[in-house]
Amino acid sequence: MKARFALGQYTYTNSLLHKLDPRVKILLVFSLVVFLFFVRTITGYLILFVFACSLVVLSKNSFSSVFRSLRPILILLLFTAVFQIFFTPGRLIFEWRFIKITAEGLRLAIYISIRLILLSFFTFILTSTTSGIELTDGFEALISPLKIFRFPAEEVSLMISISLRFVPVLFEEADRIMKAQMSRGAEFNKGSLVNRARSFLPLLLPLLLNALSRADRLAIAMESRGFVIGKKRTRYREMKLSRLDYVAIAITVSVFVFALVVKEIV
Amino acid sequence: MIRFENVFFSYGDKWAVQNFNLTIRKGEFVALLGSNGSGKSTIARLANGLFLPNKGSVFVDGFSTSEIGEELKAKVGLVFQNPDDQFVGTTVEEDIAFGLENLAVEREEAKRRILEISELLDIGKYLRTSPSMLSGGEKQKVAIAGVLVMQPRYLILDEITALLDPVNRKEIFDFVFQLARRKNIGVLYITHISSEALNADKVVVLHGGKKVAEGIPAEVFRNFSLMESVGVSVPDSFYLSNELYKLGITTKDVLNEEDFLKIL
Amino acid sequence: MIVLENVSLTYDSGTIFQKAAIKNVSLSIRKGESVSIVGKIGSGKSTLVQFFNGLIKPDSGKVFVGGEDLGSKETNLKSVRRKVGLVFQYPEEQFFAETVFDEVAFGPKNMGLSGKELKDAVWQSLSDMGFNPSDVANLSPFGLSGGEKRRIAIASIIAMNPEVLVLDEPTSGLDYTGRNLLIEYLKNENKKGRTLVFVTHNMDEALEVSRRVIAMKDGKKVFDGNSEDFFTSEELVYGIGLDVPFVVKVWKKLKKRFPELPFCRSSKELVDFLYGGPAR
Repeated sequence: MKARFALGQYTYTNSLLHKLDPRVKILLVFSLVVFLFFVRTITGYLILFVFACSLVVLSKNSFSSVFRSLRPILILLLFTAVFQIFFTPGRLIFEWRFIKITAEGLRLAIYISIRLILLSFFTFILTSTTSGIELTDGFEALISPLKIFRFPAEEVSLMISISLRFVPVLFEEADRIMKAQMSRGAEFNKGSLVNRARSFLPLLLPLLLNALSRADRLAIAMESRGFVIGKKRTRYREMKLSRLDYVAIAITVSVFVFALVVKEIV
Repeated sequence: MIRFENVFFSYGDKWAVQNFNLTIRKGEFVALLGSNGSGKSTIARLANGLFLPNKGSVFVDGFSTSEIGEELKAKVGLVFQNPDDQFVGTTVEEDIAFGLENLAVEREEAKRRILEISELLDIGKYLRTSPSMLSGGEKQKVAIAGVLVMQPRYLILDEITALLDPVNRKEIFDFVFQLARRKNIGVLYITHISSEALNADKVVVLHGGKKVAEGIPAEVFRNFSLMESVGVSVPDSFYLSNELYKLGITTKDVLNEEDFLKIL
Repeated sequence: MIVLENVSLTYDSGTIFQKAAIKNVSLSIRKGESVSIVGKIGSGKSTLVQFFNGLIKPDSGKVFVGGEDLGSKETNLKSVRRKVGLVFQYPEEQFFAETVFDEVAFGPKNMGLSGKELKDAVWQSLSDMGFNPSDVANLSPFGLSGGEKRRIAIASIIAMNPEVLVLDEPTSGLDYTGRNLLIEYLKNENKKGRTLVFVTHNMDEALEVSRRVIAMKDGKKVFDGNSEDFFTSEELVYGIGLDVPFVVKVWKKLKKRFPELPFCRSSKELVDFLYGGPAR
């Protein structure tokens, strides 16, 4: 029985967006998120929203999966919006007993909600079209200038990709150990909080011990395959900028600029 | 040639290997047998320089393992029992490439070698798959590919079939046996499945870190009482063919299964 | 004792990963039997035995243990797990206690034993598995040899005194000596009346230990009967993707020459009979 674990819901749908260089994708999404806060008009947000939706279509994802990814932030959204609506000082447009709603509050609430939604959209597009490994490579490439300060960028990236590889393995192992202990009468969801915490020892300790000995064996295997920390290595996975990447950068930048300067139509 | 010369190795204050001598020539298939804890795995790690002897030396093509550096790992490839403990990459292709990255092989050459190896092992269709999705036998093939791609002259195989079912076991064994013959690779084949040792050029038996027997399979296995006392099983076919010959039921004292069944 | 009626299970149903693991299997295991469930890796045999103690529930069909329906809400699964002791592959990987005693006592303790009763249960199971209890009780389970760890792990299940002992590939990873010892102890358990269910792809062991064989292929039960009938049929054995034990191949050929030769379950048995029997 395998635990279905989707890290950022990466699904290989072979879309145009999947073919982009991860460095480009990370930088663009990062900039989009930052620029979100510079856009001041509803029209601007509308343009960005249309852009986001077209990206979803391009990525061959379904809108239902996008909305599902919004669920975790819904509460945050609601909370922030309500907070802004009721507690922002300004020109009153509605009053009933102690409840005051201002125009500014309404405006801010709408802006913040739109920003949060757009943020989720863009993040979803990034994680659904970029695998864990690509993201790691992208980040490594972007932080590699830090190597000047002796930051072990390559080793960190290797650590991250190996960890990613082992996540499903650990889940399976935990499942196995849990079943083995249950076969000995262990119960994991009964009793007081203290009892429940205690009942996790027969699960966590073997898991930890196995993980440690596995790490040991893996290190030996890596060494046997010639791995030496600090020695020069070539990189098999390549990240090459293609024409598609330049097009993507161009389009994204134009959309920014447009959204930024467009006069308020609404 | 890999040469163990009066090798001693200890973990802390316990001797794991004592006064061990062995040669493995290019193209030779040497089987190493012994019960758990006899020192087999230690020998494997001494052969590729992972461990260095406390006393004595291990020579690979004339150079001591304490002198050569990482090139040794390319010359002497080591494959372990559990492929899950060896995988580094998130796809088969990436994993096989790991060794080549370590050797600083350029991408073009790496791609070529990987394609060649995956064709040889018939795992081409899995290149983009995650290793954890494969069956036991296929996983082991990927692990072997990851080592073969480094073009070793010698292979140390540490119980690589122990976790497989009988059909996969035979497939993997036949593959490495034939490959070694074809490419003139010297093999140290460590196993506790005695029948696999029947085809070896030479069988070595370890007990308590010491060599207790060495010779051609027939010579070594003939000594039933010794095998029993050191916890090594005598292959069924050998035992039966021997006993039936003694009983006069068969006319020849043969070795392996197919020949024996034909005689019957 | 254990009855499965038309049991089926599909993994990840409804998704694109859907895979049928068990297809409409019915069987019954009787008290005192020694049964081997054989099949390739992936045939469903390991999944099948997880129904026996309620670890997993079938999508359709029923599972009964000692007459109780495991699907019913009234059934206490914990008591089922005492009756049907399941030993997973590489059981020593579940060790977590400081002493052998604590490790072996974990099971019976969870089942409500304490004090003298608990100690007796632990002592008994340790000696059943070939240990001198006072020698090992205070040792750390992690410091033992591979074969010893395996037997301690099995002892920790036997300590609950289950009526049925189910073992998934109990000899995997053991060397020749460790394996032989374990097989002997398991055969003893069966002689004492404990029902034994052995899940394995090792035909030689299945032949040696069990009178009855259930063969699995692609989630379906393809044979259920006498082990002699199974192992002597090349069609059946090759049909599930495994190989006929060598000793059976030899036996078949020899039987033509020595019709009185009884069915032999190991090479030693064969040779012993020949020495005692028609030696020329």
